[in-house]
Amino acid sequence: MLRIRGLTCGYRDKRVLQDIDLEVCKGESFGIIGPNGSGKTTLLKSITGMTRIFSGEISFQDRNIRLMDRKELARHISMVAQMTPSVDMTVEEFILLGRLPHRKGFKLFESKEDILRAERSMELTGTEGLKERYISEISGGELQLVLIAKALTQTKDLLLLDEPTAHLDISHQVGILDLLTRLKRDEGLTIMIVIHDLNLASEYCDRLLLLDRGRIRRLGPPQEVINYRDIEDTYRTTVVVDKNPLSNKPFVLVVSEEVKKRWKG
Amino acid sequence: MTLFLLSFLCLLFSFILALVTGSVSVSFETILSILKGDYTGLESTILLDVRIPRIILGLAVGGALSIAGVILQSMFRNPLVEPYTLGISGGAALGASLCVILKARGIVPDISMPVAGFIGAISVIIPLYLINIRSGFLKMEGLLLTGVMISFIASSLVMLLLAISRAEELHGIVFWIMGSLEETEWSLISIALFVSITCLFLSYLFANAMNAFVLGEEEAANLGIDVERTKKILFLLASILTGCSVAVSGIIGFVGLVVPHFVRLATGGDHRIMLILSYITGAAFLILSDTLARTVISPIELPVGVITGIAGGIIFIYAFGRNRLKGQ
Repeated sequence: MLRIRGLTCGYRDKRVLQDIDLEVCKGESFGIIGPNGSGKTTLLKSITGMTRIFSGEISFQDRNIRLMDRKELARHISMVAQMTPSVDMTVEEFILLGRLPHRKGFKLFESKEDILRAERSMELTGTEGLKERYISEISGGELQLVLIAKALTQTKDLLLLDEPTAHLDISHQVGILDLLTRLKRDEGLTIMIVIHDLNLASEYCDRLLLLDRGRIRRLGPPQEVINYRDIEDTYRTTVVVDKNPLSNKPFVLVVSEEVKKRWKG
Repeated sequence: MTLFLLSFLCLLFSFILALVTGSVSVSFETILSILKGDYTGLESTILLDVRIPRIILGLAVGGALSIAGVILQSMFRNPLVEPYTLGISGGAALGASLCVILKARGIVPDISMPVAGFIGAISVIIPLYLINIRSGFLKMEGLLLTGVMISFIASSLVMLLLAISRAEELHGIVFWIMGSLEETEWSLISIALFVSITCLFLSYLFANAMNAFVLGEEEAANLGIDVERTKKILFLLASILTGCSVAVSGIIGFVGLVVPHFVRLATGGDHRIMLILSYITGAAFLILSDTLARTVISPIELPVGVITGIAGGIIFIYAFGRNRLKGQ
């Protein structure tokens, strides 16, 4: 579905990502992990055409994204960015913005299909009860669900999510990722997700990309990517990697400086 | 729908009030006779040559400044930006002041000042745009900062001109800067009305883009909006609206700031509603303010900007306070 070949990209003259090669298949949940500043968000932005591409190519459904106009790209790829929108809009009005790329020419008002799509997205994300409320009135967890509903209203092809679980408690984190898994399974959605929590990434993603200073450190299933050597080298910290007895997926435990000293002693 | 009806009724009320009120009261029956062409007395002259031109100019300028405010506030995602923030009014004031000082008013007596004001506005818009365009990208922060700086420079230059001008020139400049709807040249009134309605129509085509802009430029781009093209068009529209309004009526403050705020408080942030409601409300507000300016200490006429500032400020604080209390 999405193919990236020899991609070097960044902002102005700064190259953030170098020599990126990867493929994401339809219906896959693809996690992007790595330390701060490793280029995770830049990779998502490059797919939506928001970065400067120095070399290489990104193609979506065998078409170079540079040759697709912005509206067409938005009809296939939607991004759930890290944001707290300060808008005077109800949840329903906000979710309906997702239909903007589908309006032809200067058509200003929603069609029946637009409304049906928004209602379906609200149903899928369990946000129907919020539709009359203002965006400023809802909680952080609800906002994430609303952002996903807007993205779903926009497209059901490829969803790019930039840390959708940041600042949420574990119950909301699991809730959001379970929802994405259901959407992937039931709606055939393809998901690319930037996630800081290595355990959640390991548990929920089919494949992981570990970025280190703008380059690919490792790419593959969680069992291959989450190993103490790669994680310690990339994050420059000591960790313990073990296996979750229920899911058989690897999990990571951090080791504090004090414990490290004690063990060395 | 109720709000549209209410604002339209408000506009209609402002029309009628402005027609009947003034130093000479004109009854409703007389107005109808004058409009039918059956009556040609003093009231007819007052109505056709003074009040109706003012009402139409109030409609054009009030509407234009309000939608320029809506456009700029959505582009900059800043509720404090108004049509005069970018220095366009400063440029127009400088143009008009130079016209007085250089004694160019006599060239074409009725339109020299508006033309000079418009040239002044254009001579700010073009450098403002050129300074802030980099490889096809219009830099918004730069636009705002440069605009504010240009505004300061223009104000200082106007003050310099005021300082070196003679008493009669001083009066001409100050009178123009304070803003007024006293314009009898029908060609200018028609241009102002045509520009404001055309720009309302054109900006309405970008109402959805403005809704997306409120989420930020990146988010708007993710929703398929051609951000750079839209920014350039909206900047051009806001500049034309402001430039034309200031050229014809001088600097009438507060309309472009308070009306969009007020409408947003009442309706929310959907620009498909906001643009039309702001146009109607802005027009009604300016016509009512002008009527008040003409009548409050009649026969002396107050500058309309004084009324828009005081009345607009009070209404806004009241509405904002009430909204906050309701929210709590």
